[in-house]
Amino acid sequence: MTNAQKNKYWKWSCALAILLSAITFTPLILPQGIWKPTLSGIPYTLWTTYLLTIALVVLTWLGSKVHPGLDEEEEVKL
Amino acid sequence: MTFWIWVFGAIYAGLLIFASFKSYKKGRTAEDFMMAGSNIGLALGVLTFAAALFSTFTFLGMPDFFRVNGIAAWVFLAVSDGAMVFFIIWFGYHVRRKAKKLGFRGVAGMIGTCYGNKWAGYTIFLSAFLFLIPYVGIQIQGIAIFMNAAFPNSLPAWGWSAFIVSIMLVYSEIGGLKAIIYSDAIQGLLLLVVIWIIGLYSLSHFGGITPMFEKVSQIDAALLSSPGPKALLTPQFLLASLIVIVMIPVTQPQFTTRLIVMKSTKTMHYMAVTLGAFAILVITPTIFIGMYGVDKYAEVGREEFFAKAFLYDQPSFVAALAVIGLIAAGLSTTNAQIFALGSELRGLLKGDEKSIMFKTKVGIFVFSVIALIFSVIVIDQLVLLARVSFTGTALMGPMILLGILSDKKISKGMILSSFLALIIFLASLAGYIADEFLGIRLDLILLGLLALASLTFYFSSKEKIDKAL
Repeated sequence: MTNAQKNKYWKWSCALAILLSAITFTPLILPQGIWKPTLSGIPYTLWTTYLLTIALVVLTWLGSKVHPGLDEEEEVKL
Repeated sequence: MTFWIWVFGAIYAGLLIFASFKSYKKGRTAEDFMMAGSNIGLALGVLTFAAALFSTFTFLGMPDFFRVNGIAAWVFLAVSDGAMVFFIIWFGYHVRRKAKKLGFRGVAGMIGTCYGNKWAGYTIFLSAFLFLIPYVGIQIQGIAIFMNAAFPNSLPAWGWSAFIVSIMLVYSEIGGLKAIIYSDAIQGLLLLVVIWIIGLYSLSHFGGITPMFEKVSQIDAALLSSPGPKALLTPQFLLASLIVIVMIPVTQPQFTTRLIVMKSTKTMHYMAVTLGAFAILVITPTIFIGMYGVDKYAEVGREEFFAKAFLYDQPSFVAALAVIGLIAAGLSTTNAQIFALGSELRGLLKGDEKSIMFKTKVGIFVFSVIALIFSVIVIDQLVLLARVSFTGTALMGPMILLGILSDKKISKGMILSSFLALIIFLASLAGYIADEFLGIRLDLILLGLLALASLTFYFSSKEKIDKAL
């Protein structure tokens, strides 16, 4: 992967991470006082935010693969 | 239970002694002692970061938070942690790059150098001191409450607190940061095992996830959605929580140090990903324990809930594991925080290294004693006090980020703005200022204004700094 591609994918990852975080606080994910539809009995906000959390961790993994500075430096000498 | 506590306690003590002697090195340098030789691999890195992050606050506080406020507590911690681990891969890279250029003797010292102004470092140290000490105090208190329940009438609460602080001091004095990292690793694994055993027991009480939520819906359906029965977990509260939790690696020095002492950027990135998975694994069973509390102990206080759900309802060997797990959790987190304060102090001191190290160790002792006093006098919910601690230190986030990222000389107005925000937040905690204006939380307003100030100071600065910085 070229550096330009890495940069592009990294920016996309950042945008997606911000979007996923922001969407959590909308009525779509946090409808006040509403707990249905459930998924296998799990209340709506819990299952949606559980999936969102997993998505953020997967995105972190993808982001770590395309981070532009990944190979730039090694151990920090103090 | 007492028999099992002695068995597990002896194993844990043996592991601690082994780790401290493994970490002890004759003729070690101050850097070896304070920064663990800056060569921490993936497994140790994940466990030390996780153990410093998931402590008594997670082990006891989160089940209680789920019990009282319902399932939106997941957003409060787990979604915020998910965002934080992504943030780590971005921030970790920049802070390591800066540390490589400037050297690293604590966040306060490094940011003081970035700003060319020692007051930047003092302000950061003040915020860390003011908000970490009560947090450490309440962790110690959590253990004391639990020990009192396990061994009623054996020692007063302050006696247990003093016992914990003494172990912490001896341990960190022998092994330094490396020993703390090893103890974190032991604690991280122990925490994961114990929380799952108790979590699965709690789930089996209902016979599965579906019947668990059905039962809770019959007791109080408000627990199954935001904002919860106490109307605490509003979108605004949760958003502010996400911001301050994402700022933890920036503003709480024990975490920044752990990013810097990782072997390489690549290892740090893997650490972030694994930490995210670890967070999901650790927080999930706390939902089950919280819902168990809703069904069986909805009306009791937190101390009774802790004692019953973690001790009296468990088989004796599980209860004993819980006791040792909690001691380990509290010990490693308080150790990490107190040691980080010592490290921050060291970064601000001038003089020969021997005298600096002596003053640093005296500082660690004094911080421990102050935390011990707090552990006796502070009364608050674990999670809410942790939240205040995160917010108080997060106020330094914009100043620290600007210092690390800026290629221009930044006006001392940024330091003054951060200091003012700290004073305003303290005034609101003391009740002199409202904690909400025009329906917006004060912490969100302050963080927004500081972010705006940092952008203004950056774009209004014309003077480029030395490239070496």
